Amino acid sequence: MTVGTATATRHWGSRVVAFWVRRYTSGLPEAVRYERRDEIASDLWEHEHDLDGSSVGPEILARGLLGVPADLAWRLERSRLARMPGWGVTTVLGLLARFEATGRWIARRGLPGFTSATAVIVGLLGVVVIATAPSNDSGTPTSDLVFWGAMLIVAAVTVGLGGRLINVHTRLGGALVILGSGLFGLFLWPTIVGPIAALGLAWRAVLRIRDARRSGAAVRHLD
Amino acid sequence: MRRKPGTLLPIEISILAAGVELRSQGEAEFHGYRAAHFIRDREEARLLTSHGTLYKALERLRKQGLLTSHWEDPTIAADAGRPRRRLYTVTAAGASALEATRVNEVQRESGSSGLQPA
Repeated sequence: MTVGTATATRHWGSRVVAFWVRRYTSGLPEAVRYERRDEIASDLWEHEHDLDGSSVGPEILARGLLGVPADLAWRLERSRLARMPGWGVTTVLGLLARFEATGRWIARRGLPGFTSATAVIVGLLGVVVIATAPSNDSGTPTSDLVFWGAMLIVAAVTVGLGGRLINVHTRLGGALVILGSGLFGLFLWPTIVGPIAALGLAWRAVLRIRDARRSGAAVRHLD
Repeated sequence: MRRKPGTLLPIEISILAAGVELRSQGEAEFHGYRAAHFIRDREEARLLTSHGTLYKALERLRKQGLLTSHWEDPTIAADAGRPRRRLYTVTAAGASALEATRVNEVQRESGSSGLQPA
């Protein structure tokens, strides 16, 4: 039974934290899921009513953000990854570090490099989300996290393809970058970093398209 | 990294200390936010303990038998117009673990300063 989730919260900070809690608890057994959600809902309510004023939203959000690593560790303890042997976890973590280093190397190479790095990181995140999604005894995933992971991979492919095309077909490439950025920005919006990266990427693509249109117009004018 | 059995993390010590101190003030049970608030005031911190850290630590302490918990009667919460609270109590084992940690800290401090405990 859930009571806490039915009680509305008032502040935007609480709504962001509640959304994040719903996301990282999705796919867990009902009892575990609702216990966590109810406990955080109670905390958010107490916080809002204890400290009224304009600072409540940012303070609640800060508490939520600072707890994200602990939330992810808590979630990971309940995922398939936790049942992997030690060498499996080491391999996954090693691959993560390798991909991150590759991403940083590519990121030093301008907009196409930035889009590629973002595509690699978002795609890898999608793979990790799918790999850690809970499953039943027959190995069938029982969570909408698989859908989330798949969407992140689609976003990564779209952004990566757009980054490749942007130098040759600026409009098409730019549109793909904007589309992919919108997609992963939407799915990663509670992480704050995700939407900021998405906005940055989309904005740079818009500027690129605008520059291409201006230079195209200048060439036509000269003709 | 695994820690030695019987050792408590700083956040766990803070929670147990908050629970013991609240009980001495007449609050036998506490909820997560109450503990976070108490810890912030006691340690003069700027921010409350984050949700993730706080509730993960509370769960660990509960699993170790250092805290017990139960959900508040939903009718009480409904009457008050708020979500129901999960209420925690420090067990005898929790109070002993806190005391043992404090004794160890005192011994370590006196050992490092070259003094013998009285």
